[in-house]
Amino acid sequence: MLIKNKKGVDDLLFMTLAFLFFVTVFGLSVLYFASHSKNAAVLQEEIYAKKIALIIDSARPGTKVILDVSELVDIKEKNKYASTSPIIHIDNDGHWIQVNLGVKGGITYSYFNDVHVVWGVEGNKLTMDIKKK
Amino acid sequence: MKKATNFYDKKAGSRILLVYWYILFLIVAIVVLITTSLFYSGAIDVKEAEAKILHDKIVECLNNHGKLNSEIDYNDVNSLIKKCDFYLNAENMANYFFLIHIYDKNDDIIKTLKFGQPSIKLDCDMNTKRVTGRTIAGCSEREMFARQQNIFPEKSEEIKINIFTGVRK
Repeated sequence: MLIKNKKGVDDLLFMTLAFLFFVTVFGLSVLYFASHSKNAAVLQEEIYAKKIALIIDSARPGTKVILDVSELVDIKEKNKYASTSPIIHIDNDGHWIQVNLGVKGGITYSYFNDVHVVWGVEGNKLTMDIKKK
Repeated sequence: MKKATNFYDKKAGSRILLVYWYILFLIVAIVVLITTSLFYSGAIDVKEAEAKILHDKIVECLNNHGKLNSEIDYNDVNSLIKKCDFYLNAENMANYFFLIHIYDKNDDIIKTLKFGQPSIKLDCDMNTKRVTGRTIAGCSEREMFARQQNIFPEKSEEIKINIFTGVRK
């Protein structure tokens, strides 16, 4: 009877530990999935492409804008498979912006303000000088 | 013998309960997966912000210190587009729409100017966000008042301008 009871306690302990282990693994998996479900690079490409387009659209000629793009630079530096293409490109003729972190060819977004943007990326900063065409 | 049977019955019961727990966790995992996928599958929506900027830009170039800008030819929408420095043409007319109604003080329409894809206005009127949870088009509609003298000579000096802008990309 004692032996049988001991086996029962051992079984219960094992089952409880296995269950706790499963719950922990499950919880961590869900957390990992939720935080990594959208590629950070793709998300940041989209955010910055649209942010820059809205800045250009709302700017008047004569405006100078300095935008912190350190998030983009950090992601690009961490991604060892990234291409060597520039992070940001502003096309004055086609009126579009491309943000490319070298993951999936980048995100392109257009703007409607017919201005000439003199731009450059220096370190972590994008400078844009909005001029009349 | 009776006790032993009870013990095994309890063990079997707890095992069945454990199976239910695993099924519950599986359901939670599926729900998290679906919810997260739905949340991130949508693009970052700036259409409404763009429509408001387009609206503000139109107001800016129509208004000349409280008077209607006389440098614009109100019979030609391209004159407005040029004056406002917009890059709006046949290439991107599917993405943008604006409709300007100019009224006299009796609320009669003096002039209408429009550019782009009129179905964008329909998308906004249908309020697709309430139905589908996503915006198909971003819109902005407001009125402004101004004065005019020689642009529409036979009409009242005080005029009302209704501007509707829409963006669908």
